[in-house]
Order: sequence, then structure tokens, then C-alpha cells
Amino acid sequence: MSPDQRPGSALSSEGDAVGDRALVGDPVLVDAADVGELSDRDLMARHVRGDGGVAFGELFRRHRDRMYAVAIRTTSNRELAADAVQEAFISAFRRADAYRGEAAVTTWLHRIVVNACLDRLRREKAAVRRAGDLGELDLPDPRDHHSAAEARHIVHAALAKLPEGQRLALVLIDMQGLSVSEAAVVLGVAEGTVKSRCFRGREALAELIGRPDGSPFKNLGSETEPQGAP
Amino acid sequence: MTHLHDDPTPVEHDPTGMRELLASLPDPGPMPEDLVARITAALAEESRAAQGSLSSQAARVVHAPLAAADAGSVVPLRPHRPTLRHLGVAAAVVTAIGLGGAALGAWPSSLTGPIAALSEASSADSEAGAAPAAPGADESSKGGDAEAGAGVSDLSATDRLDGVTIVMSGAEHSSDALAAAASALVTTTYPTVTPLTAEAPGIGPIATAIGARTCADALGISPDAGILVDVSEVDGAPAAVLIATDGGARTAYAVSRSCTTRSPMLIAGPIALP
Repeated sequence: MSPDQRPGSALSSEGDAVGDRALVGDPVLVDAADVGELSDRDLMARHVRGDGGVAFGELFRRHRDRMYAVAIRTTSNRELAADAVQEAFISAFRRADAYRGEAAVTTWLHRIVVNACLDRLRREKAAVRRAGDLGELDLPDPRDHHSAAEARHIVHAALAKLPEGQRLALVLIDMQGLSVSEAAVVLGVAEGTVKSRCFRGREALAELIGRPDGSPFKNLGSETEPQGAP
Repeated sequence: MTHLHDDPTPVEHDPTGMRELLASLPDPGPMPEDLVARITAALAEESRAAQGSLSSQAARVVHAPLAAADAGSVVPLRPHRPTLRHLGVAAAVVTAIGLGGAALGAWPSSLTGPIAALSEASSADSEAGAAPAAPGADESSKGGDAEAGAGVSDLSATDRLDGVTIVMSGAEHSSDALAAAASALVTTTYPTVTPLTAEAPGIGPIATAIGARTCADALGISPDAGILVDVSEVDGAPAAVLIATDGGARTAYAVSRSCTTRSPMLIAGPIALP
């Protein structure tokens, strides 16, 4: 069971079993010896009550790789992803008191990261154009065989051509492994909408890159600018 | 093809095979270390700013920073007078996040003889006290002595973090006269910039303590050396003059503000100072 799934760890005004000295006293006097054992929700509660950033630091350590991955997959651009994920973590740090505990902390973080990515993409049209540049799409591992790297490029290029809503649904559900209900929270839409976007997105993707039955890739033009409409 | 929003088909059902294809794509990998350091520094600054606000402007602790976030800023450089208490808070953040080798320490708000202040940094840290280290933090932050306990580990981390001073002289240096410029920097009082900030778009990483230390590493400067950085101009272009003090010897460099690991972007130097 992950720390976030532990029972009895609601984000509330109730005191943590450990570390109360730090929560109510001078932030410098943080009893940080236990943060690694706390659930995500308990860390959020502790951060909201003020512990000098120790609890949030642990949250960052736990989730930074996953949030970076979703940012990369959402923007298809490492620079934009880096800026967005930094902005997202700072925003989460500041807005932690807005977290009410209805969803998992990871879901809440996903939402902030995705919104930061979309904000970046929308505000910076030049960056949107870069995201469509195959040369900057999720760079292949140099250890990849050529064909595998090429296939990755083709898939990412096809993803970039999908409408934003479909692309995000596929990133969250099929690539990040979120459940439909979690993705619905992240995207702020109904679960049925998430499913619909997944189905439509997969069909569109299959149409773009060809069926996985050996038929050739097709319909991939040179322009792969991400689409803005859902 | 149209799908109703109440379509009972499970989302896993995928005759196109695209779900499996997408799931099989390799993970982008871990967050790069430089980005980890950047965000760590930004969060530490946030924490420090929040604690400062708590003590003096409680009503604006949450709402004022949110406005900045909505405006799309990452983390602005802001005037700040670090206190011993703030330094302890920031040290706790950096330690908890597990940033070995990051820069954090004590800096006076203005210096008379910045180099002299560098040599006093460790004693200032000792007075500040160190927050205990988090067990969940990366091993790199623990000073390599797990048996010694959290207090000793944190002291080790703090020892690595101090000794960076950043000033903005406003001078326009010449690479041909670097030695004279650097000597003047050592003996002249300039307003300091709080080093523990996120990278500012207009300045670059060199104005952060972490960035300065990373640049120093790229230049081959000992991590034990004191570092003075003047964010200024060299030969008419944005740059920085970095002076390292190690064992009483001072060495000056002129570097680009983008100086970083494996890319020091040296403009001039090293020049040994008298």
C-alpha cells in the first residue's frame, strides 16, 4: 500500500501523530525525521500548517519524475515541460490550502501540471510551433534501434496532430496509467467525456499511423502542430 | 463514429491497438538533475518568503504569491534580508529534498569586503543551527555518514552549501582588465543579491547560489572555496565575474551568465589575484 493510500490520513485540522511540535511551533523546529513515512495527504496537511517546506520537499521528491513525464508527454517539448513543471510545483506549494482531499494528491498534482502545460502552450504560440517540430519531440534514447526511435517519432507526431482534449485523455489514461475517474478530475470533465475522447483519440491515432497489423504508416504530413480544440 | 458519454464500454477496450502501443512507449525518464536543482531552489525561496510573510504580513502569505503565479512568473528575484531563522528553514527544505551539493548559506545584506564575509559564513551557519535531515531524502544529502545521525548529516550538507555571495556592482568590466576589476570587487562594498532564488529569466542561473556553485564546479573550483559573483557586464555583454577564494588564494574568472555544468562559458581567466 502506498503512503497515499493509507487509511486515516485525511487532510484536516487534526494533528499528525508525529511532528506536532513542528506544526504548531517555530517552523525552524521541524521534526523532519518522519516525513518519509507520512502519506501524501499527511504531508499536504503538514505543509499547509507550516513546517518550513520539509513536507512539500518530500512530496516533490516522490512525484517529480511522474510529473515531469506528464509534462513531457503533454507538451512534447522538454523546455516547455521543464518550465511548466517548475511553475506547477511552485503553484502547488502556494495553493496547498486549496487541496481539500477529495482526490489523491497525485491526481491534484496532475491537474496542476497539465494546466500549467496547457497555459504554457496557449500563451506561447512559438512554443506550440516548436512542439510540432519532430526534432524536439520527446527525444529518443540513443540506445534505441533506429526503427524503434522512428516509430516513437511517428507516434508522437501523430499524437501532436490530435485535438487537445483527445491527446490529453490518451496521455493520462494510456500513457500515465490514470483511471478514468482520475483523468476526469484532472481534466475537469465528466468521466464519459474522458472515455469518449479516448475512443475517438485512439481511432484518430490509428488512422494517422496505420493499424498495428503491419499496414504502413500513413497520413503523417510534415506539419505536426498540436491542435488546440478538444 | 460517435460515442455517448454514458458508453458502458470499458476504456480498456481498444480494438485499434493504440492503447497498447501508447503504453509501450518508453518513459521519458527521471527529472533531469539541473531541473531538480532549479525547482528545489525555487521551493526553498518560496518557503523562505512564506515564513517571512508569516512573521510580518500574515494576511498576504497565500494570496500575494498566487497573483504572481497567475501572471505566469516562475519565481521572481525579490529583495530579501535573510535572517538566521530563514536560513534554517531553507536548509531544512533543501535537505529534505535531497539536494546534495546545492548552495545555501548565510549572507549579510550588504558587505564591507565581501571576501571577508565568505570566511565567516560557516560560523554564521553554526549560529543559525541546522534543521534535522529527512530520512526520505536522497542519500546524497546525508553527508555520507548515516551513523552520525541527522544533526551531523545536516551540518555536513550546510557546510557544502555556504560560502556563496552574489553582488550586482553595475559595473561594465573589460576582460582585458579583469584582474583590476576583480580586485576592486573584493575591496568595495556592493549591495548583495539574495543568492537563494530560482533562476531569473533576465539574469540566468549564475545569480542563484546553486547556479554559482555549479558554475564554479564547471570551472574546476574546489567545492570548499568561497565564491563571490558579480552579476554585471563584461565587454559590453551580460556576464558575471566570479572570484574564488580557496586556502587564501584568490582567482578571478569572467563567465557568461549561462555558465553551468560542462559548459563554463569562460570569457576570461583564470587570473590569480594578489
